[in-house]
Amino acid sequence: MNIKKVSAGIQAWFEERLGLSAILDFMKEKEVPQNKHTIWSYTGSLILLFFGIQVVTGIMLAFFYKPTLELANKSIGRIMTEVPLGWIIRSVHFWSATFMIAIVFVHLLSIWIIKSYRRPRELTWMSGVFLLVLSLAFGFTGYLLPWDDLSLAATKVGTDIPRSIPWVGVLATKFLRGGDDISGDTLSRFFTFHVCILPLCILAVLCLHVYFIQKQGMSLPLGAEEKGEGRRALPFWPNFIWRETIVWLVFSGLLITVAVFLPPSLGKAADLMAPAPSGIKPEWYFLFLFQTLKIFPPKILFVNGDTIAVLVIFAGVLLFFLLPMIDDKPEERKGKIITLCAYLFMIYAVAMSIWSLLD
Amino acid sequence: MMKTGKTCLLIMVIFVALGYCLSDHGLAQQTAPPAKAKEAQAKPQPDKVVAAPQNIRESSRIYVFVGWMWVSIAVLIYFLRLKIQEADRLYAARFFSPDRK
Repeated sequence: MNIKKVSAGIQAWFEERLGLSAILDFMKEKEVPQNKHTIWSYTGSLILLFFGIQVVTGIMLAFFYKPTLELANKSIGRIMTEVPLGWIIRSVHFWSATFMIAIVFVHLLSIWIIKSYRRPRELTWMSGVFLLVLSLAFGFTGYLLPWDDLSLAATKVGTDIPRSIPWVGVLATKFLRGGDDISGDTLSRFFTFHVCILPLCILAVLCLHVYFIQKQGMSLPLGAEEKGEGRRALPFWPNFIWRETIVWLVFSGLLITVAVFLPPSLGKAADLMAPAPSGIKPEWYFLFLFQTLKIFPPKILFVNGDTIAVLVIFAGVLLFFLLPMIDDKPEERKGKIITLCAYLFMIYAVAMSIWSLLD
Repeated sequence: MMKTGKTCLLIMVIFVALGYCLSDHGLAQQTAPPAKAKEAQAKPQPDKVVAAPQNIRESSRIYVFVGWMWVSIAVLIYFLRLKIQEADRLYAARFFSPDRK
């Protein structure tokens, strides 16, 4: 039988059922604007790459991980010492999370500075902020799973933060912990969030985010039309995809190299009765928030300092979420001040993180 | 272009096959026998478990793999750059443009 005929037959069979040619036609017609900010377009797909790596390595780890007080730490220890290449799978999972969150920050900051959230892309930005919050929630819930001294103490501090919120704070802390204090219920709760609830949420928001991007197309930077940069574009398929493949290859290589040479270690199993170890620090992406909470005095005008700090952080997140609505005149003075705020935020986050590390 | 494509495919197949041979099938099997697991449970727990290759054989394999990976990436980037140049040339010549037909 002719191979070409068979392959054409298989292709026709799938085409009739799935209509894949429509997707290919869409990809061929889709164009990516070419300008000095095009480099930032690669960050979106890189996030997807690292998310995919985390899903795969996370499933591999879940084959061996046991979310109980007695076995959580031991099972991670077993993954690292007995399972063939288990330590490297854990390391890739750990580092891909770090890379992903770093690139999510870069992606959002670049959009903030280029002002790609301008009308009609407000929903794309909002879904992106949701994805950032979900990524941070992944990091927070995953941090407890090794169940060592440091992860227990950091989770105690982290779950205690919502307590300062008026009216709903105590309930939120109880909900996160599955009781008044951290226990085995907290561990199984965090595990369920980490492997079931958050992946479902992130998939749903990711689908929406990608849909919004496809619907609205990729935006041009502010003022690009006037500079004549509006007409320059590259076809998504194959010109942009080949370029994107190079970026994926380089970052995959970097991830594996870092994972091999800097694997995370595992502390001894957490003891619920033991006092908290000194120098508790959260993961790097929470450091600036952690330090922000620390700089507030215990009392400000008869109000608890923690409450004010948490409310200030919440207000900041809300402003960040509503940025496209606030920055409604990007070309004007207000828009320029908002761009300046992006740079100030970056300086603040880096300075606070360094302060927290040195503290 | 066709010739470059075939060469690229052949090199990729060779590298993938080489990588598979070196990989020792990754996480496919759990090798610890039950007796060994019991023995490990009885041992006092160390203060810190450091992640590292378990023996010299594994560590050499890992380092060879990292080296091989970067060589493969360099080769693939070389071929991808050729592909990009070709795709850009065809796009500049409006090869796939409907008004060219």
